[in-house]
Amino acid sequence: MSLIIHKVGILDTIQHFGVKGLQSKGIRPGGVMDQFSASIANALVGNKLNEDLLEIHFPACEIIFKKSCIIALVGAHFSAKLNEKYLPLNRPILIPTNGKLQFVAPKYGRIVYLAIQGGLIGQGRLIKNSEIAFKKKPKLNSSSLHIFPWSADVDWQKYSPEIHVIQGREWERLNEESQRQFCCKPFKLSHHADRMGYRLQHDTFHTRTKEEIISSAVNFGTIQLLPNGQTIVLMADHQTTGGYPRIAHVISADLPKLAQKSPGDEVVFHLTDQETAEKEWVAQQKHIRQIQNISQLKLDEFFQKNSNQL
Amino acid sequence: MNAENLKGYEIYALGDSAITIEFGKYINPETNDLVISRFKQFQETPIKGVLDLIPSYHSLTICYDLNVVAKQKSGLHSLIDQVKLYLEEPIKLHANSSQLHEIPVVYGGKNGSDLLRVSQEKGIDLNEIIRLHAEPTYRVYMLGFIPGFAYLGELNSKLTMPRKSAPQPMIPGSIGIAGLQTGIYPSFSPGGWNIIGHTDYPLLTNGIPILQAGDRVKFIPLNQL
Repeated sequence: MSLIIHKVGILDTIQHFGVKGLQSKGIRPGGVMDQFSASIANALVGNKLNEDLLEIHFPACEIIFKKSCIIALVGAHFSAKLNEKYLPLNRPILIPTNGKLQFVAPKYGRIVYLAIQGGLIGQGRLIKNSEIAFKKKPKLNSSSLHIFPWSADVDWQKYSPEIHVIQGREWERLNEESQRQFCCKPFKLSHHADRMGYRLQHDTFHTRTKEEIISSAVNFGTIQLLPNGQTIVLMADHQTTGGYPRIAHVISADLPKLAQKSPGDEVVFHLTDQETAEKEWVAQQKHIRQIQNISQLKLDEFFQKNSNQL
Repeated sequence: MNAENLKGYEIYALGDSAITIEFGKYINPETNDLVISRFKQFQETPIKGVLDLIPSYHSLTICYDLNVVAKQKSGLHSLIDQVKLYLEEPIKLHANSSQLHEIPVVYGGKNGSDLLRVSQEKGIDLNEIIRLHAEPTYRVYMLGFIPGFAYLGELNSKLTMPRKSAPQPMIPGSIGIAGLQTGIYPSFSPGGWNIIGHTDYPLLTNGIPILQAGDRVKFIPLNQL
């Protein structure tokens, strides 16, 4: 009762939603890069929002489903195909037994989440050529593909360059000119971008002081100023502490948007405040929960109607 | 130490989902004792919505669930008020178990490739650097950066070096210096510290760090140059 990884991708993992409570030992929380897309994918298949799921980069893995199950793909558009038929994003999909899933061409975004009804075993693991077991044995048995006739609104995940940030402890270290540049100039994401951090390309930033700072905690979204005047945004697999000046922090609600940026994509930072950050986050979470509620109703309705055929 | 450090603290935001309490401006055992004591206090009596605590040299960071905090009447300010109440309680200085680790080091060479540059930049003889680095019994101020990376202090101020301008790949056991700090990389990772030596001392068992905050470390030089 499992999926077979037919071909391995470059950076595909079974992801969780972050390990809590171990940062005092230097153990990072990790977890999904784009919590919004991952939560929506889980909502669409009727899972709890933080169920373990596949996080897929391009070039992506190829998967054979040994048993039919319900999946959803949310996030990047990699032209997913099932047995030669293109699959849409943001919808529940009933996969037939022995269906083969491939991702043939990246269109936009960086990471796609594949949620499977019931979840998967083996969190945090890099996907290798092997089987991945379902947490719960799917009750379905379908020999044909079925794409459900409803979809989630993921308008939140607009692919705009605007990213909102809160000033960091060492913001004042940047000189006036660098502060101005940081706030309005578009920067490109560099090729040095992975689950640990995204580096940005811009003119060298200058500081008022070169004084070393004492190492202290950092967070998902912390923007560090490197000694060479360049910056890095710390992402999901960030270290727990660091000694580079923390000039700003990406607000939680904009982390999913940032996570989906690829090398060469533009970002423009805008300063905001705690109150706005909280409001944005609460609104985003509400949106996810609404999708979860509607999805559950629709799935229940569908299974009642079709219980004989499946 | 400055008596003000015992009462004074500063709270700042670390993004929208964490705050940091800074107990002092410098690296010293007294400030770090405060950090460890408060860390234990918050651990023993958890505040609702707090997900993680990160003690450092001179600060304690509280990571919280933005869903819980945003629901409070005045959002983050409510949490900060609660934290301030905790900080008004008397400090219980927790007796540190304070284990001593004697760590053998090979200085310089292939796995201590920055030693020569440090010597040139500081104008200090190679063997004098070894002597100055191995002289103190260091305190483990905190673990961080990567699992089991122990930040040790305080380094002799004659050896103060800036971090490298860009991080470089490190091998396990690399011993580095930066500012008034010294430390050992327990696993492969990128790092910006100046590497002056190497140890084979095991720093992790089954992924669990051997060194604990509050422990002591003495480096034992295995060579002269």
